Amino acid sequence: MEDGENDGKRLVFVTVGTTSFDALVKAVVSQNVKEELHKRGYTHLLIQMGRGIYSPPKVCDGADGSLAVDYFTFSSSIADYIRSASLVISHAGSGSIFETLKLGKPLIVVVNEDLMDNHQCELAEELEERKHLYCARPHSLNQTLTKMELDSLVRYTPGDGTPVARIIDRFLGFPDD
Amino acid sequence: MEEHHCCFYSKMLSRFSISSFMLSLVIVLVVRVLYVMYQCGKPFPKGASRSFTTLIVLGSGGHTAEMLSLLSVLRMDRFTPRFYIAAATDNMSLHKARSFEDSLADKPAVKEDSLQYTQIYRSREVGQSYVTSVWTTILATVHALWLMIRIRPQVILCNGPGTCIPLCVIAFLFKVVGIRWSSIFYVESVARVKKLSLSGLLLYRLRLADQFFVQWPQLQNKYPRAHYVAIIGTTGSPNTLIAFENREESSKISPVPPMLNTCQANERKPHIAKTMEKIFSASILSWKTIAATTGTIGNPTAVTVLENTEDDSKINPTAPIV
Repeated sequence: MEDGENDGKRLVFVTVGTTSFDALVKAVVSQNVKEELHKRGYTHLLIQMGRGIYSPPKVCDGADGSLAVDYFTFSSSIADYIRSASLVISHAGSGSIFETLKLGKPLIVVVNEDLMDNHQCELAEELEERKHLYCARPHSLNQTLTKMELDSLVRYTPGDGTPVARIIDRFLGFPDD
Repeated sequence: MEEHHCCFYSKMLSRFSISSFMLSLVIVLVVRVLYVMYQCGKPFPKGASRSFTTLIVLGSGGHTAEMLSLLSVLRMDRFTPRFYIAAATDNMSLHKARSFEDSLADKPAVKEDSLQYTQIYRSREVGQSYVTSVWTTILATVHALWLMIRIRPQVILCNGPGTCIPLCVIAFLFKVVGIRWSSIFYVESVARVKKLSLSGLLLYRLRLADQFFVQWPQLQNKYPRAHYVAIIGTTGSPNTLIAFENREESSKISPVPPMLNTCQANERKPHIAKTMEKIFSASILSWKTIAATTGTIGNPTAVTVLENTEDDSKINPTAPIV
């Protein structure tokens, strides 16, 4: 599942999507989360912080062996970052979730508790039940990381739209291909 | 005196004829509405038409990505001409739709007139006050009506944004009045696991959608008229996996079809798969332009290192539905 390693570099990519989710950014750069990530052998932490106003302190390639931290706001090539990551920590948007799952990366989804209509946590919880990912809240991210066992995750198989197309085609009286 | 009588009778007569006229009108309308509701959801006879004027309603967030995934498995020559509609505040959806259409690029000569991209006013923006929303609702309704009169779609594809509700209601009225018969296909967003979205619920309850699709088995149990289309292959229970359509076909469907079919679909249309991958590499893509102008903030070295590690061989073909 982990194929993002490159010269011993193991990247944790954090993405908040188009919104702002400072609680998540703060949670990932908190000391105990960084320590836990470091303990698990991750070397780099890259944060896509969206419209958030909290900029985490940057840490250049730590000579002391600590986690290197970097961030940016938006990018058109999020898929590339996900592809190069060994672990993805994401907000609960369906786009980010399925993008990561399709690329077969281990994923922790952090649900934004500040959102009013929070149907998104339904999706994350359902996928967690199916063991495709881990679901956490900003304050429980550290516990999730501690108990996380990447080997127990089940690889997600993408769905298929052809049944929909077939039903629509038949309904409209088109012959089957 | 006689005149007076005469006037009285004529008044009575006119009152009677008006009320009987109104009554018969109401009866005709009710019968017509019932007939339309009865006919909704009835499939067309084979070979009814070679192609249908199609209205595609796009929405922000994951909606547009899901809709274009669906379009990528439809035979587009059957859904021509196509009209894309997105909310006036949503700048990226139509842009994505254009990129998608460009990727089809089979017959550029035909395409120009058969494709249109339109924005529609929304009745209420998030956070807008209710007083001003009276005016904007009227405006949005008139605009929707005008667009629908212009387009007169035969097929409407939508998957959740609130903008689809007025359009679908107008489509139903068109059916009742006899302006245009249309079929509405609604695919509930994959993000809805246990509850339908408000748009979905309305279209389901009012029976406005001819065919209704959900992407989770829980929802299909709750809403039995919906078709369940599997998005998760191997982990779903096999019973629900094959329950989505005609029961007699269940024997032909293997318990793990999605991945296989996806591969086949992408083999058939590799260029589409590739473009989809490019367009929807992530939901954040709508910020492409901003990122392009501002660049990445912070230490660029980390970013360039990452970009160099890009490996095309690992591109996973985009699945049709999500």
